[in-house]
Amino acid sequence: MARFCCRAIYKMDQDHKPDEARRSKSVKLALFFGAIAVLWYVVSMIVVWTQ
Amino acid sequence: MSTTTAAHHDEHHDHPTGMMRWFTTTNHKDIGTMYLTFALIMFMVGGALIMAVRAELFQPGLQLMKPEFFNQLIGVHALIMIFMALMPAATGFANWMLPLQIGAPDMALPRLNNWGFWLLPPAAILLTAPYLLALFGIGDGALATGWTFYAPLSVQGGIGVDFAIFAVHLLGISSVMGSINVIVTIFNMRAPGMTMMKLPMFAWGWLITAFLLIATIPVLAGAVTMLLTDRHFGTHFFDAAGGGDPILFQHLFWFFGHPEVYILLLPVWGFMPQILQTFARKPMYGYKAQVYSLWAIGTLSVVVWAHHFFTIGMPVPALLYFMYSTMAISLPLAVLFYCWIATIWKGSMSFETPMLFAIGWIILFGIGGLTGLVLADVAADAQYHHTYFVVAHFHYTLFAGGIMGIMAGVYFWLPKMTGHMYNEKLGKLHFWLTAISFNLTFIPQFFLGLAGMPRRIPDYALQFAEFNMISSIAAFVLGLSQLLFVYNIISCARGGKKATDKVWEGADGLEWTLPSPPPYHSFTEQPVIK
Repeated sequence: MARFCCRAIYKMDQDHKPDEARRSKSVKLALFFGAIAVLWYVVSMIVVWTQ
Repeated sequence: MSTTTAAHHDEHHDHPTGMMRWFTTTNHKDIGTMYLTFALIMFMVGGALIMAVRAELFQPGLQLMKPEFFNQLIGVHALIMIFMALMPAATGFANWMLPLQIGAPDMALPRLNNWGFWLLPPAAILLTAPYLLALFGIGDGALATGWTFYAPLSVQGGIGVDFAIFAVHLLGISSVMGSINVIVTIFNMRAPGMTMMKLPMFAWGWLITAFLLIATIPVLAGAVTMLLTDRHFGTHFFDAAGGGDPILFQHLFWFFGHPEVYILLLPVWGFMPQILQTFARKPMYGYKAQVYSLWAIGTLSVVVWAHHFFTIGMPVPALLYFMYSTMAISLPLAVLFYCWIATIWKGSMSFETPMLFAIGWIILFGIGGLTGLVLADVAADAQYHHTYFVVAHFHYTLFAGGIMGIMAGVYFWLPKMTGHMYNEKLGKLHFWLTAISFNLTFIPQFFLGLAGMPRRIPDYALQFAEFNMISSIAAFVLGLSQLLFVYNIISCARGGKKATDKVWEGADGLEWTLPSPPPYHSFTEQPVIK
């Protein structure tokens, strides 16, 4: 799954491949903020549902 | 900012060419160009829609269209201008300039970047397709609820609402993707030595914008998803007839809608000080004060939403809270205005087109801000709510503050992007026509609002006729003058006087250390910031 996400969101031109540590950190940060957005979407609907 | 940049001029040719280049590109400059082109096209489309509205309002009485169609034009105009013109233009600048300004080889997540852009054209088609479908007898046209989707109108509306709901979902996903990319790029791709407090102001403006988008877009998406279930799956979240609460929808919408104003403006507040310092030939005044003010405004913007609907009837403590918290935003905004003016104070100013737009922007956006302060007052708002005063106010904020700011940015960076100078005379003519016709369009609308003319109504009382006539004529001049802008951009992209690397004498920042236009791969060796 992590590899799929990595491939889906990450493609650098060969000339510009940064080091593996930086690339890994970028993907982790992206997944973190993406998860926050999805969670917030679900939580906002639950809050409305429970009104 | 001193650097040890090694700008590489050699072009690489390992990327696709022709149409495939644009469909599959992961290059930040290509994607930035696509965003900016898309924004320009949709700006003209959105403008054309509102020209039809102003034609209808030229005289009292129904002249050209039915009221339903009038409402559709207004709602789609707003959605296009906000989601498909202003936001993509700001994202286009982010794509083009952020990596160049922070010394990164590209955006951190290039393929996500490509996805983010290619969600926009389908969204544009979804939003406008109901107009065409109605011509073939399918449905009753686009959404007629205004951009706010207020229930119960949106619960009862035609298929245009469904199309718009799907379009907003796509636009939201695109925005969140773009935001994640911006945050990760700024956090993880800065050149060595570029600490956060050395970031260009544009990067700060966009970083806060990105956080605001992630905080608010999911709430809008949730609200319109539930609106969809109200329409088709028998739920009654917002439908009062079934025990739902339409006011709840207003709270959810404006929880997104008010920060959205700052989402549109913060990127402009970011690059505008860079334009001012360039043409004043002085260092930016109050860098730290501006950064803290941007954060303060971003934070306050998510806790003031209910001032958009004071008139629904709220408890007095809630009214007071939302009034005072809204007014509190004027404090950090005043700090920003002070810094912008102090930046150009006693500078060796020259008035090329970007500077003209920047100066005009300070004055006109100032009017937008001050009239917003009037609307934040609960007592005054009771009279102004839902009148043309509000329409004039938010156009001073979003057209003068947003679009004229974007125009300043286009003229500022166009020579860097294309490698050619634009036509300066044409640029200045564009500025003066825009500034004068904009004021002649919207100053009468302040008076119309003060006299009580309601918004979103195609007909009006006779006493409003003269001001509406002036406003409509000026709106057509404003619309037509934008053709100069389009012509200038196209002719600049096609050729013209060669731009130097630095372009502007007072320019400062990493992007000006690269050739004009920058090579396909910007920094093959990362610059080091000292």
